[in-house]
Amino acid sequence: MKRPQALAKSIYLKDMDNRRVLKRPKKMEADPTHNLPENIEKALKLLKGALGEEWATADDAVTAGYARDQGFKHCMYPDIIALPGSTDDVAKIFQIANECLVDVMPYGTGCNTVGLTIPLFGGIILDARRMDQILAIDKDNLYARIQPGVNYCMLQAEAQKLGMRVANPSAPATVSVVSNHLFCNINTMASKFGFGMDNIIEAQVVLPTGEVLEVGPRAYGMDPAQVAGFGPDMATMLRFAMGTLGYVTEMTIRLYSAPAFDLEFYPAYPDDDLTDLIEALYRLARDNQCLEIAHLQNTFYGIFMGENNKETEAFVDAVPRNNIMAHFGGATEEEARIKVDYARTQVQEVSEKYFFIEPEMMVEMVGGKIHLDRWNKFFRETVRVQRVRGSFIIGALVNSLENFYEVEKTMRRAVTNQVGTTDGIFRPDDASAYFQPYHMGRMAYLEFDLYTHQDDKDDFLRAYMGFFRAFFTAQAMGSVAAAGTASLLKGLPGLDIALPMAQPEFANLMGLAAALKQTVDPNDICNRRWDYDTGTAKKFSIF
Amino acid sequence: MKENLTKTRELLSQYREDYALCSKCKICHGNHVQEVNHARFFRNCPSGSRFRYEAYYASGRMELARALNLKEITVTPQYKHALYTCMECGSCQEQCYPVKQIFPLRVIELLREKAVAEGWGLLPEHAPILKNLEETDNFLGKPQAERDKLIAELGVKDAAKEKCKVLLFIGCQYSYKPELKKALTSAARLLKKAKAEVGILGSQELCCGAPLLELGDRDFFESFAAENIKRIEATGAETVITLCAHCASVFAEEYAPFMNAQPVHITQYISEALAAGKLKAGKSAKSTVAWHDPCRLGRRLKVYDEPRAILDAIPGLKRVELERSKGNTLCCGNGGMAAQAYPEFGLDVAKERVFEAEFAGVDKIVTACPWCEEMLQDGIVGRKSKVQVENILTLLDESMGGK
Amino acid sequence: MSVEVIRNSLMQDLIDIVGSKDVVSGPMALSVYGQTEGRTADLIRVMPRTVEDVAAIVITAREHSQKVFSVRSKIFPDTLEGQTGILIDPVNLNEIKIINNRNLMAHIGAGVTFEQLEEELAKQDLTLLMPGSAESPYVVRSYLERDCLVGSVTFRQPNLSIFHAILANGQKWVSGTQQLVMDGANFREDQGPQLSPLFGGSEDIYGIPVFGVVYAYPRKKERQVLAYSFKKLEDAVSFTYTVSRHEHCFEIAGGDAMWWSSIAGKTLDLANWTVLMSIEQHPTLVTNQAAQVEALAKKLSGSKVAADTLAQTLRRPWYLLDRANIKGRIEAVKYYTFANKVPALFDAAAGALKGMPLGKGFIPVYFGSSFFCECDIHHAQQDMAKAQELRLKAYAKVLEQRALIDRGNGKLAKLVYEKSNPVTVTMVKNFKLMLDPDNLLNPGQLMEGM
Repeated sequence: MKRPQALAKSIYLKDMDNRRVLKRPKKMEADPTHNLPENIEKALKLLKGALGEEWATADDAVTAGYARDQGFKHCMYPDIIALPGSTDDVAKIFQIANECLVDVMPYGTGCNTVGLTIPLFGGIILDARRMDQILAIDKDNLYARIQPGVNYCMLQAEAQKLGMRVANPSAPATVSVVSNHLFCNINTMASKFGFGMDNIIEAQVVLPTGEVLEVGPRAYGMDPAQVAGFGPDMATMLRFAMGTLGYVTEMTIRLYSAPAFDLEFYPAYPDDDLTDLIEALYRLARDNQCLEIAHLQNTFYGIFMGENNKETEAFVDAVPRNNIMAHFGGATEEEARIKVDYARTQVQEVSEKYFFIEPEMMVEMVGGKIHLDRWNKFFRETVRVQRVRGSFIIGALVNSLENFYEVEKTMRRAVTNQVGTTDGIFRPDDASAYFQPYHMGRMAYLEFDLYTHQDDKDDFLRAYMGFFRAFFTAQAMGSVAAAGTASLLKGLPGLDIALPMAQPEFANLMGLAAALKQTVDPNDICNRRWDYDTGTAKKFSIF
Repeated sequence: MKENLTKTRELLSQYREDYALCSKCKICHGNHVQEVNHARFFRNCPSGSRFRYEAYYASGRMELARALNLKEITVTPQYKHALYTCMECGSCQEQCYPVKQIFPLRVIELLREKAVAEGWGLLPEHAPILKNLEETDNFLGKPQAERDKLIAELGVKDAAKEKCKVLLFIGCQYSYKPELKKALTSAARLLKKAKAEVGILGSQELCCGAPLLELGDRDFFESFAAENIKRIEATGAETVITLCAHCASVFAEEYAPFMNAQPVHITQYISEALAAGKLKAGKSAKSTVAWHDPCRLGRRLKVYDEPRAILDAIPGLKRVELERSKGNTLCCGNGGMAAQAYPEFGLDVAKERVFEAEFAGVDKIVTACPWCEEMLQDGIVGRKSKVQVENILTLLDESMGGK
Repeated sequence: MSVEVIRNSLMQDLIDIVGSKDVVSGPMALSVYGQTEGRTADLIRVMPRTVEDVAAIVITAREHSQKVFSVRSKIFPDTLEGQTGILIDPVNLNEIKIINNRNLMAHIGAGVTFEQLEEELAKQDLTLLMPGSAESPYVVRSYLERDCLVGSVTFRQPNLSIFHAILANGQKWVSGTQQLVMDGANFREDQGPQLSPLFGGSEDIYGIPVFGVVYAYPRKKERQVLAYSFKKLEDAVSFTYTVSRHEHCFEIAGGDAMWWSSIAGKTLDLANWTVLMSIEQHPTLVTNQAAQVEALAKKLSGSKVAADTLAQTLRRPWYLLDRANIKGRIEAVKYYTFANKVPALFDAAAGALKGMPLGKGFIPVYFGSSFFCECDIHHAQQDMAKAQELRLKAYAKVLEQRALIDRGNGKLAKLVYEKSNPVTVTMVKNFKLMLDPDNLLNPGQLMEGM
């Protein structure tokens, strides 16, 4: 018996609709010299010849994937995507870009919340994903040499096999280690191990001219024995350069020994007063025994611990308002236990209102879905970035720990009822903050995140108003934008003039940065986000 | 007049928020971080791992949907390449949904449906499949009548003629491919040993339509679904057992709401029979085996434990887990009809899976999906590997003497 | 104008800036250095008292077309030989402005010495990390130059949070968060690309440091100093490595008898490889860690030795010049390497230094993942040339085995730069051109011609 024929009709052969393209977001400068259409065409041809037909394309289907990210920045299409497979390939890309005067936008794994890999005026996206090898990993001497396509998950997995760990990023495990280390990698909790940028031992950089620069010991034919190498530490110039000075094709980074025994420690208290919290953080950091330490308000905590918004919400309600997370290690369990016990007495000395959540209780609170031991090591793959159906804005500040007491209070006043999401997941007063003591409590980091619904214009405005209120309040109280981002702020209208006036020495830094940029990138092709001749940002990344 | 014989139609535009809110966090590119033990086994998107451009990962395919919806771009050959190299294995959704409640796989499926509906979809390589289905009711293009022979061969009831409680839905591959005959025979034998009153539809069994759903031709799929449901209901079966993982997912997701019979995959049925003492596994030769979770059986239907229970019930077998297993399983390379258009790409994926089996030190990689079996076998040949691929039913059947 | 008139005019300008007492010319100008016998340089030593003085001196030097050098070592550097110009000695920039006990930081002038700061910190129950082979007595300089610190196994921070330096144009370079806010966190992050660390290891060719915010450390309740001797170097290194990796120590260093004797300033009767270490924690943890250390030493055939004499050497800086007590003069071969390469590299260096009395020591850093190694060549005045020649040969030998030489100047710099990536060397030069196009500051001190 056959099927009824009437239904057995494929519409495979039907003609394709004649579609009309309404809009393809791509901007040209007012008076462009770069990225001229004829040059793009020429560059594509040359790139296909240099990298192979498969690894360079201007097809819209591919460029669309690089046109936007989680940030509010407008969608903006690049012209060409190039996937180099080696350092030589990267050099060729830059040579071609110079020859054709086409911009190059460095791109690691493309995880970004503020449009830092979205090209401003088109050009080539240099995507590292074919360069994703861990070239060397040394368990005795605690280092790894990696390519830019390697993400934290990959490196962490390999390090853990060998009894080591990578300093945890405050970012998803899917981000490029190279990119994130260069952009500080604030290490949400790693007080002891410094930042990612401290852990860069050496790097191979293709300069925008196509020359290959080695920085660190390798440049001098030396082993990467953890220190800077001969003479001036050239590797540091790449930090916070946001890819404007070239493209890192290999990097040697420092790893850390994973202790034989790990113990967690979760003191908490319910009220909103931060005085005792800051004091306890301060004492624990000063003692320098914990491997990692941070304070997390319950909202932040939920975001870190929950798998999704529902779990997050449940967790937020379950835990007290103020929490400390600290991890201790030891060569023996007894040693780790002694450290925890001592930490407990220190916290209790600060205030009797602290109570201690046992690790088992923590597992129960998140519905038993968490492998706490691995969570500690990876610090969750999702850390905030995937949270909330939309976007979030980060405020990151450095100040003395004790100053943050007032700063946080004032900032909170400034943002209350200004933020939150319209879908009700986060209440308007749920701008959450966390403190992380740096360098044994000598200074501290405060991060506050404002959650917004990316698709909701009201949210957008409210969040940004809240952000700037909070940020400038903190700045006025002596806090400084963390992660070297003042150069970004400098691009904001008015601030390019105000900042050098407030502190004339800032101009020296920008002057040197501008001179450096002009030296290594005479055609100004590599990430033209900053206009180095004037020392100001051409365009702040979120606008 | 055309009826909606299966689920209510969904449109790609209903998922606008999903693709508009994809934050490019790239969680869809790999496995659950806490379960990754080796850098190599982080990667889990077959097409992304091979073609590398953003468009070949779910995060990029969400942009394909968004950009097309907003008419920012038109369909190009590379657009189609990016769309049809997806193996629809669902690894992306497995990672993304729990965190962000976004359905990337569904977006891709609907994008394919849109492609067919608008007439720009599918590739020339897919034409023979459609042609075979049009002409012979099975995608292999074989005469339906051949299926009738199986009734006698397997010694089961002719469900088209007599009532049966349990209907074995064999599927196209097991019906026609000689290399799969052993597994089919084992299945029938095991069911009989489990005292199941089994019948098959013979030539009345049509393709379940899975290839059509994967290609996005829902209209065409529904014609098969409607007819199959009608014929199954006519048998009075209480349970429909599927042998193929693709049939299983189509039955569970598409057929189940419209029929009285309860669909199960054979591994579910057999493991229950083992647990109930209706079947008792015999002894097997000593070997180390690993269960390869077919994407459609595992990630889609969450059938993870049953096949493992079967393997664990066979004395002599040492079962180990592959690095990418359960929700993190790697596609065999034969999903989403991608390998039909790009066989070399499919083979590459299979070879990677075989490498993983070698890495785990197994003698046999065991599965229960004809698509996986076929592709993994090609991967073994391609890698010149000593690993063998084996159907779980054969393994159990042989442990019980194979008679 | 004659050379003398020009020079007198320069002298007068310098006196106008800092006063006549703090401007010294002639042979006395070199008295700031040790091991100057047989060395010549026509330098006017100026000892500014304020940062503004330093800026004024640099501007004056520019006006008079004079080169400006800065005191960077206690030992006369080869690269100063025969030089003419102004020598800025930071000795009077010795103000300890703030000791912030709460935030464990000290704001100090570039002329503050380790001894001076330690004395002040001790009053507040604080201490600082001491260098293991310092050439400069000044804390800011030593930290900026990345000197190996004896307690840097666990305390891996940079120890210098902020610094100020005077550039060739007389302007002030301010690092870190002070680029925006002078008071606050005093954190080391520059506000854009991190260019400040370039000043480290640069021999002051980019700017002359005048001020720094350095890290202090709290003294802990319990401190135990332990010493173990080992027959084999491999065992001593293995012990040091494991102790460091487990963070079972505060300070730790190992060496042969001559190395320890030269540090202690007297001949010590020690086994060839002795490791000295301290544990500072709360009492229970010290007991626990000391027991683990003891067990490890036993496993590696180490024996506990009395630590009293050696213990006195801790908590003070180990200046290289102070160790010239064996033969009167000292040269050192200093490098970093991995633990498993320590013996082979010592052999390579010793092979090149045959016939010279050697003291060999090692100090682990970064949880034992790297070892600072030192071969001290003790020699008499008349063997100076030979010692210097052999030192360079020893450097060449360890470099062949990829030893990491962190910094150096003159012939050593030439040796390293010759084998370097040419783009890297160009970049070092480019920075110089950007900051000091007239080559005013410390010309020829890092490499020839700049």
